[in-house]
Amino acid sequence: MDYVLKTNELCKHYRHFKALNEVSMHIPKGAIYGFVGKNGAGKTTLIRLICGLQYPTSGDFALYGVKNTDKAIADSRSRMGAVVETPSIYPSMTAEDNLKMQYRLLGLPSFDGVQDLLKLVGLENTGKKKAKHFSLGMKQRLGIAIALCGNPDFLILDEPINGLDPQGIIEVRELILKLNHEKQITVLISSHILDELAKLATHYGFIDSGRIVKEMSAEELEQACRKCIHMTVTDTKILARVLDGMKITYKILDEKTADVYAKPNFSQLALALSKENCEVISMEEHDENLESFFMNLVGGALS
Amino acid sequence: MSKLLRADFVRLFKSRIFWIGVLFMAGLAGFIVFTRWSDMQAVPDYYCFADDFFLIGSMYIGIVISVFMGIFVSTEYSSGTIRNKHVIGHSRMSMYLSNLIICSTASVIMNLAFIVVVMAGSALGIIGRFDISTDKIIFLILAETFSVISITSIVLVVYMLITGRIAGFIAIIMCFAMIITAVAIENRLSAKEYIEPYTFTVTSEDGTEQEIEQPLMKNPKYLTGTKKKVFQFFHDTLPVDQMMQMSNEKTCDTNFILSSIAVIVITTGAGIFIFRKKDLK
Repeated sequence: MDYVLKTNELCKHYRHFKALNEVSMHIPKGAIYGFVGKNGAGKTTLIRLICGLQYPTSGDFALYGVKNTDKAIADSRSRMGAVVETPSIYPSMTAEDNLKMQYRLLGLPSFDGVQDLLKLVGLENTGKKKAKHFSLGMKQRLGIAIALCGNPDFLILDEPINGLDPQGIIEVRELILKLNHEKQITVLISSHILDELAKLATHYGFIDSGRIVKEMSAEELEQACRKCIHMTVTDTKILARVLDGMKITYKILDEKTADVYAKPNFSQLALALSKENCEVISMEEHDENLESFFMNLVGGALS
Repeated sequence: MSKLLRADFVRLFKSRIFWIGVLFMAGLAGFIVFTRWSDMQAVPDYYCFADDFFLIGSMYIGIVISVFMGIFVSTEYSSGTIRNKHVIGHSRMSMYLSNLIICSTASVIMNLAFIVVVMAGSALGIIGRFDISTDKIIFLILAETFSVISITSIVLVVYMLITGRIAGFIAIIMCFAMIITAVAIENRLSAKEYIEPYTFTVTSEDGTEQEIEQPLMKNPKYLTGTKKKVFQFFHDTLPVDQMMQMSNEKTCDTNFILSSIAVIVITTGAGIFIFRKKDLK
């Protein structure tokens, strides 16, 4: 698998406080990588390290296969766009002037594409309005447009929907999906608003107290969070045989417990099991979402 | 770095605070020209040479550029654009040097705005002509330009390494401190060796007056030996001290330019060294 970003036991310590502790994460090309963690878990610190705003205490990372200690990392970074914490915009400039400024900083020969970018983020009609008078959502979209100057193929968005109203959240979500689907841009999004991430992400990385506790794809998460009936029986071998006969998907957890991924006719199931000398001890419906999955993973409440 | 310079020069010339600074310095010069013209009108024998004050604008430049840079450079931190520059691949050294070049250009233009208005006042006959040669005028302006850049490099260290409003406070206090130090050093160096004899009158309670004669006395503030050399060294090296000498006494030599270059190199070198290690939060 091609990875845009790979980190290897990355650490960042502030005196005795370990903001990041041996973080290893892998972002596949073309993914929308949801970086999930509580406030203070280390999400922004990791993003700052990747962007070169801070230096790791130990460990390393590779961006497009180029190590952070390599001088060519600056070239790799030029293929990347980022909105770290707050959008990087000049408040006294218009949206168009902000984009032109970014074009100059990137050394692009002309301003072709500025209008297209403004259109892409829905800011084409802002005219001479200065960025300081924009709503939070507009600023966020302008920040993303700035990050998109120079056609990056990796976009880092740190808490992009924080503080946005529902309309702003939808706008940013649709923009990210559009960028990923239409321009094949790999996106790393850090957030603690899990319901929103669940609508976007193709891959997840869960961080807690500076450590990556789990990395998984959206499919794997869906499997883990799938609605099921958690059954306890006297013999799961018999249960498996009966469920196979009824063409019902299941997962055997141990000799006595299994998850059944459908709602079978329970009378028929109990009768069939009884014929095979297998008793049903208990049945309970199991329904887990990303939030409860995360909380089970790290414990405690999300802040 | 050329990309950074191109972008930042466009931002500079579009910046309102830069043009306010230029207008302030030009307005200040205009005000001083007007007061001197008024003096010349009021006192018939008074003739005001332009070279008496064409360089005094530089005494205020530290304060003006502190305010300008407080907005122009600090905005980069508060708006997060400094992070953006680094993220897209610009090195910290080129970011620092670009800011030095941009801010120095701004300071020099502001200072020249003052000089140009005084020269225009002189050319139009509002105030007197220049009493010094054209070569000396050009040399003084050149040396003063280096002093202005050295002050800019000192102020830039503050703004690049300290974030938040405290940076502006420190920069302005530092500029005032440089002016106060320059005046104090000038006073000590110009102190005479002896206090001339003088008389003063004391009136007693019963109304009788008594004249007291003070003999020639050694001045305790008079500097000699190593102490005098140290004071003179700082007087010739510190940028505001140089400006004061150039403005008041029209004294200037190549050492002024060399010491200004040394200040620029030392402050910029130290600034880049620390800035490269700084966490850009």
